[in-house]
Amino acid sequence: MTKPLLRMTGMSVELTAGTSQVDIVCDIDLELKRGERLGIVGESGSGKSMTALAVMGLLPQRMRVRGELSFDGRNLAGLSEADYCDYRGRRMAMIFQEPMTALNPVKSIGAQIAEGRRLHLGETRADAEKRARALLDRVGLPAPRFDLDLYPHQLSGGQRQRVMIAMAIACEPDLLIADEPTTALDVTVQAQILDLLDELVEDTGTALMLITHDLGVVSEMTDRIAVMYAGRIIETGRTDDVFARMAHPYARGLFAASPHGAALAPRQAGEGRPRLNAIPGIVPDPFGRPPHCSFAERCAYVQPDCRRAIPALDLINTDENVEHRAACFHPRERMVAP
Amino acid sequence: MSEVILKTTDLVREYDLPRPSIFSKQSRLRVLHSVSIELQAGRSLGIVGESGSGKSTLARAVMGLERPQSGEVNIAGKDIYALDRAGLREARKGFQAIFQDPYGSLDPRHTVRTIISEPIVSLERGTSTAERNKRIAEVLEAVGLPLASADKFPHEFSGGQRQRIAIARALITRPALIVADEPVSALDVSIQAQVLNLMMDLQEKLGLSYLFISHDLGVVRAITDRVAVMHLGRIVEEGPTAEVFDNPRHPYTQALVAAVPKPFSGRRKRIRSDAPPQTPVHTATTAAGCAYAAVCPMRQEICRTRTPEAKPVSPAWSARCHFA
Repeated sequence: MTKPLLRMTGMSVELTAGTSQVDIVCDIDLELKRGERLGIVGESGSGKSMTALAVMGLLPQRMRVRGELSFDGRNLAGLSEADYCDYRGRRMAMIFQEPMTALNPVKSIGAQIAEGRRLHLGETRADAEKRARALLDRVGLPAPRFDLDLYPHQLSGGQRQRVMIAMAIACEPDLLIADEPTTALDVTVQAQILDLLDELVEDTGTALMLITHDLGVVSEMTDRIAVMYAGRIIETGRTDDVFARMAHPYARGLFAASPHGAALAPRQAGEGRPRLNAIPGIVPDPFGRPPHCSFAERCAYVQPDCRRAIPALDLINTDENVEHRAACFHPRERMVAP
Repeated sequence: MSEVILKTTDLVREYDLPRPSIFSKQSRLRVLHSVSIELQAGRSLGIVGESGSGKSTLARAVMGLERPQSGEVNIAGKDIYALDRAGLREARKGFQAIFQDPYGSLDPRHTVRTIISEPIVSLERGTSTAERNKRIAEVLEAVGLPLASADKFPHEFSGGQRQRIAIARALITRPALIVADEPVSALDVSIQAQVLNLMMDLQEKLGLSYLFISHDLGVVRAITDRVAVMHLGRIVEEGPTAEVFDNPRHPYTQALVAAVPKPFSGRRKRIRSDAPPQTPVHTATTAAGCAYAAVCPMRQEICRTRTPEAKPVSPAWSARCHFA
């Protein structure tokens, strides 16, 4: 069971716009084993959702995968749509961000959950619906209040997200991708959904790829994380190690800018309210990414050599056989508090 | 004690529910239950709560957009719902709003100049063009945008810059009070920090007061002095922000604070409960008892029979719970 389930080696996602081509996502190296939880963190435009869509084979028409992307030993790049359908929903499933728009409003939730099993496993309607009933119970929507005949509009946001999760786990996939599963939800509902995901991963042994911008969520949910910026992984390693060190200035800046970081910073006595440590500037546009470190323009520790080449993802440390790597010429040394 | 810029007294807002038949009695849903808040000039008050708790309704009532069934909204000493049209137009110069969605709140067909000068065009008629241009330059500088952006369109800006435009539009009438309804929830973390810092700078420079509505406790903690926690249309706890979040006294505030995932807290500890998760909903009636009792971990018999009053925890801090 040590063979990775999902492996990306030098994977890029290429976008063709008119006559020009750009890489929305470049040189991703990631591995994911069964039962592992990987977090992908980044801001909008960092390419984290595109990485997930590339795995699911759901990239928009103009985009193409380059490099190696293999699932359970089979190369997924260039797989035909018909072959992809055997994987999608059956072996890997995705939970989307917007529970309001990702469900079909004119089909009952029972039919939507049963659909995957009928299609992939060839179950009869009766069997699949019996199974859908069990799945709804599993995600905390018990009968008789939550009947299979309900429609999405009769449910609240948190309940819809539970239905989405039930759909995703219907065929017991080996890989579950959750793209910002709780961003649209209130904190107390978010806590319930995270508890549910945590429980499912533990019980079913599926691999989880959790995409989020919330550092609190990744810290509580994952074993390993990859921080993305402008289409590249800039830091990766065991979650505890990355949080303890934050070797890349962007990872450190992202944390300091978040209100979590502000709460940890000591409050100065005296006049005025303490400011947040904002990162100046904006994320570079994919068409205008510089030929050197893409964070150099916003980095507080920038050196002349940062503007000469793109830094490689260098090894920093190895902890419990997991490598901690950061793409920075001048990784930060000091540990972050606490 | 400094001057009070905003004071609401026993604000009640109800919505009509659909009638099952034309002969049945009209029933109403009460969304704000006697909400009273007070904001000192130059300070900021945060309103936190989950979706459906009535925080945006409160903001709309304060902005004069939704007349409450009873209660008063006093801004700078004037009851805005008692004013006539001309009086309200005059008073509106003193309070402006910033909305959540930086994409939806700016008209895509107008230039930034038209967008940010709209408040003076409609509220301060007869302002000369020279004066108007001067004011536009002034607010653009205040929010850190180049003067050249006045002739661009909203689509040419990023989310953070658009929110700066929205702030510029709010500032142009030189208001004393700004009602900000989730102003940074649509922005990325690093941009969010930039906009929050800008709001803090402007507050110190111009002496603004903020009524800051957000569901993000971290953001509220960073920018407000006092916080009011809303649950189903009632303020359940109010007090100094840091103290309330560090040591919440109402069980609902405790649940909210505990639910926020924190970095460095290690692997998630699941809250196992056998009961199916339930969400309390607004009730049409004003039944006796505590609205939070259905899900409260420390409920007692008294919670079902008597509505709790706001109990003072310290002079500036109160919680609406029998056991606070």
